[in-house]
Amino acid sequence: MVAGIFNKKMKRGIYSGALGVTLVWLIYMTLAILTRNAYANLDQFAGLIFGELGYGWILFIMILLFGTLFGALGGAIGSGLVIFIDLKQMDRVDNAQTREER
Amino acid sequence: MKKQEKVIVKKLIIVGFITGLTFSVFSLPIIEMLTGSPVAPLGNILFPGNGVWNVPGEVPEHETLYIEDLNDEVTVYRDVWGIPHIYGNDEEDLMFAAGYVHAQDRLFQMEMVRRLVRGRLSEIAGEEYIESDKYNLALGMEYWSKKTLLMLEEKEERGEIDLLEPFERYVDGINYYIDTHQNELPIEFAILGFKPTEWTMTDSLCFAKYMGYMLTWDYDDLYRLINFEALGSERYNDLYSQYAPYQIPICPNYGSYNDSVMALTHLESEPQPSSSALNAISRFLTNVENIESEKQLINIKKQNILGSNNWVVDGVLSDTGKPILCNDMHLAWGLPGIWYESHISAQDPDLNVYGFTLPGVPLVIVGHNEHIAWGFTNTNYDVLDWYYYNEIDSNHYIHNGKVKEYKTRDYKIRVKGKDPVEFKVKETVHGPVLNDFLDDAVPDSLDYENIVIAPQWTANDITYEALAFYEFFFAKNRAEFNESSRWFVNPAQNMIYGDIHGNIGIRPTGLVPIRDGNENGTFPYDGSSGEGEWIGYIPFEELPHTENPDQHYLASANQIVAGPNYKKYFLQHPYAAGYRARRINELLNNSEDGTVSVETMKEIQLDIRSTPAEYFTPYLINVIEKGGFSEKASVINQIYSHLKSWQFDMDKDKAAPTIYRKWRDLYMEYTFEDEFDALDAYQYVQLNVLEKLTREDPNSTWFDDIYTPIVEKRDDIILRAFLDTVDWLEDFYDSDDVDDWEWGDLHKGYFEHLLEIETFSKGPYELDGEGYTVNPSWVDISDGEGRAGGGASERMIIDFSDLQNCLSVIPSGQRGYSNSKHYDDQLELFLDGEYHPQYFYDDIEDFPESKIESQLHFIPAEKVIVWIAFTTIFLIIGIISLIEIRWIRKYDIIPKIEEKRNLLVQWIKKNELISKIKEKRNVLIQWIKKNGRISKIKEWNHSLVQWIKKR
Repeated sequence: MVAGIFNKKMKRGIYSGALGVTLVWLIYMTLAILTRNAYANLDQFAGLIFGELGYGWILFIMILLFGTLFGALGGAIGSGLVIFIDLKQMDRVDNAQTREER
Repeated sequence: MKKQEKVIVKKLIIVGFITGLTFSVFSLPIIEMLTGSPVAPLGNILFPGNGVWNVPGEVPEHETLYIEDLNDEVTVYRDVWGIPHIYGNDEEDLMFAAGYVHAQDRLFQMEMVRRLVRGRLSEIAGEEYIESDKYNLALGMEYWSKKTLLMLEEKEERGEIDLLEPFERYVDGINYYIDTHQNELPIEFAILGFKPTEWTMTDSLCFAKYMGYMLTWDYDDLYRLINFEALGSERYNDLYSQYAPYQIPICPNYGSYNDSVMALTHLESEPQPSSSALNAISRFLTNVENIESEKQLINIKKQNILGSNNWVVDGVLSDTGKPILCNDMHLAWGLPGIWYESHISAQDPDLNVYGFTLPGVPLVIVGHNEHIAWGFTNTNYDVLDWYYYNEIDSNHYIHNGKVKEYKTRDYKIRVKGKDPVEFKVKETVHGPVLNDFLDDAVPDSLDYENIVIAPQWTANDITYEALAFYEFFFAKNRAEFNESSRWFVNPAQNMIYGDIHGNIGIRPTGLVPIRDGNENGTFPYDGSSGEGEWIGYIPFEELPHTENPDQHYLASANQIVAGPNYKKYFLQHPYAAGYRARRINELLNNSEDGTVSVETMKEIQLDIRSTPAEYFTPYLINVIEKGGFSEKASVINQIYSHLKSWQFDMDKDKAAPTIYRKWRDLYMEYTFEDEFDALDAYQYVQLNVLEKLTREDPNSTWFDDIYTPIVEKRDDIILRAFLDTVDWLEDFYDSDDVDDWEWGDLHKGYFEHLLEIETFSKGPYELDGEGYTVNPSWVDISDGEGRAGGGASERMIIDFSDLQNCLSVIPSGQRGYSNSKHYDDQLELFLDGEYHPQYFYDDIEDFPESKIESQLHFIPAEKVIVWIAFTTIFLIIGIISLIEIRWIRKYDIIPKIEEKRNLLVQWIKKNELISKIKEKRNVLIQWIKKNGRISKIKEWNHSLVQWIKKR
C-alpha cells in the first residue's frame, strides 16, 4: 500500500506493490529455507496435499503468487487512494478558482 | 462520481475480488472441508511469518538463557546425535534443563500423549474423537494421576519423600520453553491449528499410566471367554493351556520345564456366564474395536509387537571380567520415536545417569549410572480382571448379592467447533463401567439386559513408579536397587540388573493380585455373585527373583517368569511363545570360546535366525521329499534346494524365508480356521502350540479339515499349505524363478509419523527378521507386502568394564522436527545394525570438543545480581573514562593525533585522490546528461513541489 501511495498511476501502484511484496516474501522464504531448512517442511506439507514428496516448489510458487496478488491489491489501494484524493483536491481548487473568477 | 473515479473504483473492485477469492482459499480450512482431516487453513500454515516458516530446524549452536530462580549455572552439550548431556551443580537446576530440552525437541509428541491420556483430542481434532476421549477418561488414567499427585504432595509434606521440588522444576523447564517459543513450534501445531498450553505435573504422571495402558491393558479375559464358550472345555484346554510349551523360565532357580508336552493344568473353575452376559461382552468388544485408540492397541497386541529382550552376563561369562547388560524394548515404531536419550550429571549431589527417557517424564526409564544398570521387559503378569454385573437402575448395580450405588465422575469434554459434551463415568467397586456409553455398532439382537462391564486394574490406583525411577538415579548396589523397585507397581516389568561390583540379577517386579478362592483371572467374573475378588497382592519378597546364578547369565524375552517349583501364587497368562528366549539362551549357552564380548552382544541383538523355522522347516522338507508332484516340478525343485541349504536366517535377500513364512501362515490357518469358523470362535493360537502339535501329535484332530469327508493328518495339511504357498508366491512375484522371491519384498519396516502423515513418515524399508527372531519385526503378509509397525524401540549395551564403551541406538532420532537432521539420523544406524557410543563423561571438562554439536547455557538471572552487574559496569566505564582523560592530558595525545591527520592529508594530496574523485564525478554527470536523467529528476522534483504546495 505504501508503494502505491508514491504512484499516481494505478498500474504503477499495482506493479510496485506486487513487486515489493513478492521480493520481500522471496527474501524471507529464502532465508527461512537456508537457515531453518523450511523447505523440508514445505515439501512434506505439500505431500499432504499432493500425496507424495517433491511438490514443495508448487506451494513455494503459490505462496509467492499470492504475495504478488496481495501486494498488487495493496499497491492498487495505495495509488487509488492518492489518485482519489488528488482528484478531490483538484475539484476543490477548480471550485475555488471558479468562485474567484465569479 | 466522475468517470476517472469510477475507473479507479472498478479497478479496485477487480483486484480486490481476485485477492479476496484467493485469500478465502487460504483462510478457510479447505483441506478439512474436502477430506475431513483436522487441518488448519492453508494461510496459517504457509504464509510467511506463520507455520512452516517458523519451525526451527536445529537447536542454536550457542545459546545462553538467563533464568530466574536458578541456583547455579547449567550447561547442556548436545553431541553429534543431538543427545543432551546436562551438567550442573544443583539437582533442581538439572531438572529444569531436562524439562527445557524435552520441550525443545519433542513438544508436539508430549502434547499429543497428554491429550490422548487426558481425553482432550476432540478439543483439537473435532467430534470424531469424542468416543476415544470418553473412553480414555473413563479408564481413569488422568483421575488416578491426579490422586497420585495429591498423595505425593502429602508424603512430601510429611517429609517421607523428596521428589516434588525437582519434579516441579522439570515442569518449569517445559513451561519456560512453551512460554518463550509460542511462535516457534513444530509444524504439526500449525497443521492442527492450536498452540500448547501450560504443562503440569499431572501431565507427566499421566505418562506412567499411559505406559501401563500400553503394556498391561487388554481384553484377553473377554476374548478367552468367547473362545471357551465357542470351543468347549476340552478343545479350549488343548490350545490355551496355562503352561505354554517349550518355555525356558526367566528365573532359573524355580526348576525347568521338559521339552515334551507338559501336563495341562485344567481351570480351577469353569466359567458359566449367562447368555445376557455373553451378549454384553460380545457387544462391548465389537464397540471397543470401533474406537480408534483401542483398535490400534488390539492390533498391536495381536501382532506380538509388544515385547522386549534383556539379558545380562556376569564377569565369568563376559570376556571383560565385568558384567555386560543388554536391553531392547519392543514397542510400536513411529516418528518421533517413543524414547529420548539423555545424560544428567552433577558433582553434588553425586549424580551421573544416562539412559532412555520418555519426553514429558523427568526420569530415566532404562539406563545406567556409574554403579548400576537396569533394563526392562514386560512380565505379562495378569494385573487386570474384568467383571460383569446386573444393573438395577442408572444409579445402582448388584455386587456380591447386594445393591450398591455407583460412584460417579463428571467431565466436560471440549469439542472443536461444537458445544462441550457432558460426560459421566460410573464406578463399581472394581473400576469404571465401560460399556454403557459406547455407540452401539452391533445389532439389537444381542440383547444384554442391563449388564454392565468394568475392569479392575492395578494401574487404576495411586502408584509411585516415579519414586522408583528417581531412586534408581542414586542406587549404588543391588540392595538399593531392590529397595527402590518396591515402589514399582504398573506396568510390571522383568527388571534386569548388573553392577560395577560384578553382580547380576533379575526380578519380575510389579503389583500382582491374589484372588479369592484360588482363582487365576483367566476369564471375566460375575461381579454380582462376588466372584474373583482381589484379596491382596503378592509380597515383593515373594515374587520370583534370581541373583548371580550358576549359569552366569540371565535372560528375559516375555516368556514364562518362573519354573514349576514356584507354586505359591498364580502370576501370568498368557506370555510370549518363547522363541526369542530360546534363541537368546542358545546363543549365550554356546558362545564360541566360552565367553561373550560387547561384539557378541551386538550380534545377539541383531540375530535373525528363526527358532520356529528351525523346528517347522524339517517337516516341510520331509513332505517335499516324499515327492509325487506332477505339476510345477521345476519350481518345487528350486524351493527344495533353497530350503535344504537354508540356515533359518530371515535374511531379506533370500527366498527361503519367504517360502517358509508364507507356508507357515497357511499351515496355521488350515489347521485351525475350519473349527474356529464353524464354532464362531476368535482366532488366535500361539505358534508354539502348533509346534507342539506338529512335533508331538501328527494325528491331532485339529489337523482334520472338518469340511472334507476324509480325515486329514499333519502332513496332508503341510502339503496343502505348501501347494497353495507355491501358487501364491508365483502369483505375487509374477515369476517362477524362486531366486526372485526375496523376503525383503514382503517384509518391510514402516516408521509412521504421529499424525499418520505419509510424507512425514519414513520407509517402507526392506527388513531382515520376523516376529519371532531376537531382532523382531512382525508383518502380516496375507495380502502381499507387509509393513512392520513395531520392533526394537531402542537398543542398549552396557559394558561395566568401561562405561565409555556403552552403546545405544533408537529407530528414529532425538528431535521431533521433520526438518531436522536429528529427526531420523539414528534410524539409518538402526537399519544398518549399528550403534552410537554413549558419551558418558562425569566431568564436563572431559567431554570431547569434537563431539559437541551445540551448547546451551542456563545462567541464573536474579534481578539484584543484574542490577549490581550494570552498576559495576557503569562505574568501571566512568573510572576508565577519567583515567583516559588524565592519560590524554598527561601524555599530550591531541597534538600527536593532529600530526597523524596531517600525514594523512599529505598522503591524499600526493596520490592526487581528489582529482581522481572529481574525474569519476564528471563521468557520472555526463552519463546523466546523455541519458536525459536531469530533466526527469527535475520533472519529479517539480511534481513533488507542486504536490506539496497543493497540500
